[in-house]
Amino acid sequence: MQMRTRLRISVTASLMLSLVVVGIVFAVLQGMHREAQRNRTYTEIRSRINALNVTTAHFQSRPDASAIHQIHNLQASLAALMPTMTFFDAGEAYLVGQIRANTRDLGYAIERLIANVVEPPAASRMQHERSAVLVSQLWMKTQFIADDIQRLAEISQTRVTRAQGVAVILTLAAVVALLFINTAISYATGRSLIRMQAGLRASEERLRLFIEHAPAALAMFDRQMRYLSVSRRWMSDYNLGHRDLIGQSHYTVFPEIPEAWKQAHQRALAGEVVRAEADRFQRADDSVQWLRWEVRPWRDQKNEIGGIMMFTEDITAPKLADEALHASEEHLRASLEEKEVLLKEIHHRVKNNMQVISSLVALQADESPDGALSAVLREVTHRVRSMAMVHEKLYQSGDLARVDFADYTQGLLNYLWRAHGDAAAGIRLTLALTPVMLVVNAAVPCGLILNELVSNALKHAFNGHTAGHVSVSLGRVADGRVRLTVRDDGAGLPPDFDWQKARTLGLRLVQMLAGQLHAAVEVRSDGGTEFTLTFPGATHDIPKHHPDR
Amino acid sequence: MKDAPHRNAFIALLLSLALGTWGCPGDPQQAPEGPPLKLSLAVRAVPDSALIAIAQERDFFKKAGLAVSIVIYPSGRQALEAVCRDEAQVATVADIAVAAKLLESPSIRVVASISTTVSSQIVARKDRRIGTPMDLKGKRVGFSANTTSDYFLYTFLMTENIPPGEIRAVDIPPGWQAEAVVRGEVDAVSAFGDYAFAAKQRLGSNAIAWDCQNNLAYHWLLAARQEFTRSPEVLGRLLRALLAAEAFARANDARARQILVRLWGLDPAFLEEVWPKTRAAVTLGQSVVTSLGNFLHWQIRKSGNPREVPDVLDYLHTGAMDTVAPQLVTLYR
Repeated sequence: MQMRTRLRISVTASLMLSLVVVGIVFAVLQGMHREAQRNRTYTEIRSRINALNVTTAHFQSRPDASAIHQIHNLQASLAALMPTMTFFDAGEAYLVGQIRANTRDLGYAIERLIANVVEPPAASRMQHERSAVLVSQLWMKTQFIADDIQRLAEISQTRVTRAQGVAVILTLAAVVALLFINTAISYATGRSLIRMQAGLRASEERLRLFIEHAPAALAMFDRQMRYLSVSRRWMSDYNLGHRDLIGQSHYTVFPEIPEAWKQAHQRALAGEVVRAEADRFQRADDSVQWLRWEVRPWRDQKNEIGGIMMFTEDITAPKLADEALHASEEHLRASLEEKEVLLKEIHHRVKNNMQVISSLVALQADESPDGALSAVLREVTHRVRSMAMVHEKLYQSGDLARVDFADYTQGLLNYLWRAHGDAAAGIRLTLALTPVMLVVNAAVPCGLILNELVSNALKHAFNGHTAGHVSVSLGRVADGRVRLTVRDDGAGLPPDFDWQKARTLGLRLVQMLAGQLHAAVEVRSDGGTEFTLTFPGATHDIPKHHPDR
Repeated sequence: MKDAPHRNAFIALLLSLALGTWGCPGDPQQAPEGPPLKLSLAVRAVPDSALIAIAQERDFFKKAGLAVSIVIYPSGRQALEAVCRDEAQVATVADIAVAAKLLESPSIRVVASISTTVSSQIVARKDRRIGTPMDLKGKRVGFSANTTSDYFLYTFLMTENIPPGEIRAVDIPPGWQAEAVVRGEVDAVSAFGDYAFAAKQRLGSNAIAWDCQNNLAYHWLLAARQEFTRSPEVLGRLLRALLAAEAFARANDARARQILVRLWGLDPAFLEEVWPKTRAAVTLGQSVVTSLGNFLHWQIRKSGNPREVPDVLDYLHTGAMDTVAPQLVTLYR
């Protein structure tokens, strides 16, 4: 049962019992008023009877008209009181009836007495004796009346006493009941309050423990920014040791708190939630903390803002780590850039050196009187040149590891057409190239193979003819591998020619380099010659060339 | 909250209060412990003694712890004399007879009044040429000395302006009152109510009767010897039984009359005449003192031997009534 319900029951029961008590008291007072009225009547009757007795006693000795008048008046007033007599029960009714009857008889006795005096019998002694008898009878009658009146008065008093007793008992019972009810309700309410207080204390304790042991720095403040509760993490984050902060002002504990934060606290006390992701906190000892914080209001039972909760996270360490990482990345980037420059320079120098070698070999070829040697030297020139071009493409491109082999192919073929001069002047070149990026260790053998195949076509396919057609295609097939095709429409291979058994250096190079590339070589000689190499195009698909092989 | 224990405790408290309130007075009908006390009563079997008959019939004596033996006497005076002779412990007797006896035997004590009655009559024989009270002059009028018939004959004569000396008063035993007038031994008789009724019945149309009490009731008293009043327990039980009988009679008027008819053989017609004028109630009021005082005065004056009138209060034993029903004691003490 809720405390409010108990209180309502208590108030209702108290009111009802109070009404009962008031009703009892009212009834008793009313009854006592009635009894008082009865007793007044009894007293009046008694006083008249006494007066009648006295008057009749004197009447015997002084029977004058005044005495008769007085007796008549007393008798009349006594008779007048009879109708005013009330009764409570049958017993009283009987007594009242007796009194009324005796009062009537009293009237007859009085009349006889008066008649005996006013109209005396012949004998005077008889008159006196008769008067004595009448008076004694009159007094006996008045005494009967007086006895009954006394009985009625006693009964009335008994009733009053009983009513008072009952009223006292009932009132006491009601008061005891009131006390009992109120005590019971107070006890129950007290227990509820104690339970509520215990619950509140437990809740507060739980909250305190929750805050104290929260794995975050948080503190609870009242409206005056005094500490109500604080977590251990808060104490450690701000190096507060074992200080007892409860009740202390936040601004006393941290006098260095910036004005902007104080304003944030006031905004939170006004109902706002204020937060910052990273704020620099310059401590009084010149140390710096980086904080992520949030302040939000808390409300009491009346839903009014009782203060604020403050959550802070010391992000100094991650902040510094982030800065260090940033610096490291900068350093790494700079280093990488430096290496790229260096690599480009290496490729550039390799290309230059190869180009020098190629040029020297070309000069040597030009200087050699021996045509065959000159041709060999020129082939060497082309081969070195084809390799140098790979390095050239490498340092020219943004990617120092891979070469756009379509672009390379185009450049190499342009070079070969220029290098072969008249032999290639009439030969038409058709290119079907799609960009294919190849790593260096694939690009170099592939470039050498292309050099060999195109050079073979220009030198041997057309047998001195000035017209012909060479087509080179490059692209990827469905399985992702790279396919390079060199085709000419020249004389083609001899019918019994097995290119894998050819003794020429060029084809042996093709065979060897194709092996490095793990390339499948397909040769067709149908209206010309067509070499098709299909090889893995990705870096990891191509094993590194081992120098020993 | 567990409401039930609190509510039950509250109800228990109210009940205990209620029981405490209503349970305190003792039950007057509950028989006291121990063997019943013996009590002998000398009673005149008239409506005046109705409470005795009812108490006996309704076992109120037994319930009060009394073993009562009752002896019937023809007059209260004779019943009182039986007490004086130690033949009985308590007598029922009219105040006039008590007053007369007090002058002889001062050890008599009045315990209480158990009724007041207006029943005495003068019954005369018409054949003796008696038609009015005045016709009693010169006639033989029977009466029983020192009884109500004696006193009320005197007051009747006084109120009727008949000098007592002008009649021939004949003292007859109380039990012979009716018989004396019926047989013509007297011309008229001042008789107790039952004897007057019997005389009228037997005389029939030859009877003429007048109420002689002038509507002045006499007290029918319980009287005992002083020695006996030193046993308050017996008197207390007797009064409790009679109070119970009074309550019964008040609540059961017809049954009370039936008891008198059945137990004592009273004539229902007589009861019809007398019962309304009989007030069966246990009291000890000032009117007892007044009556006894008046009758003592009268007895002394009648005896022609002037003496100091004794203080009536000395002859009242108020202890029993004070103990049993103090509210019924209305004496000026």
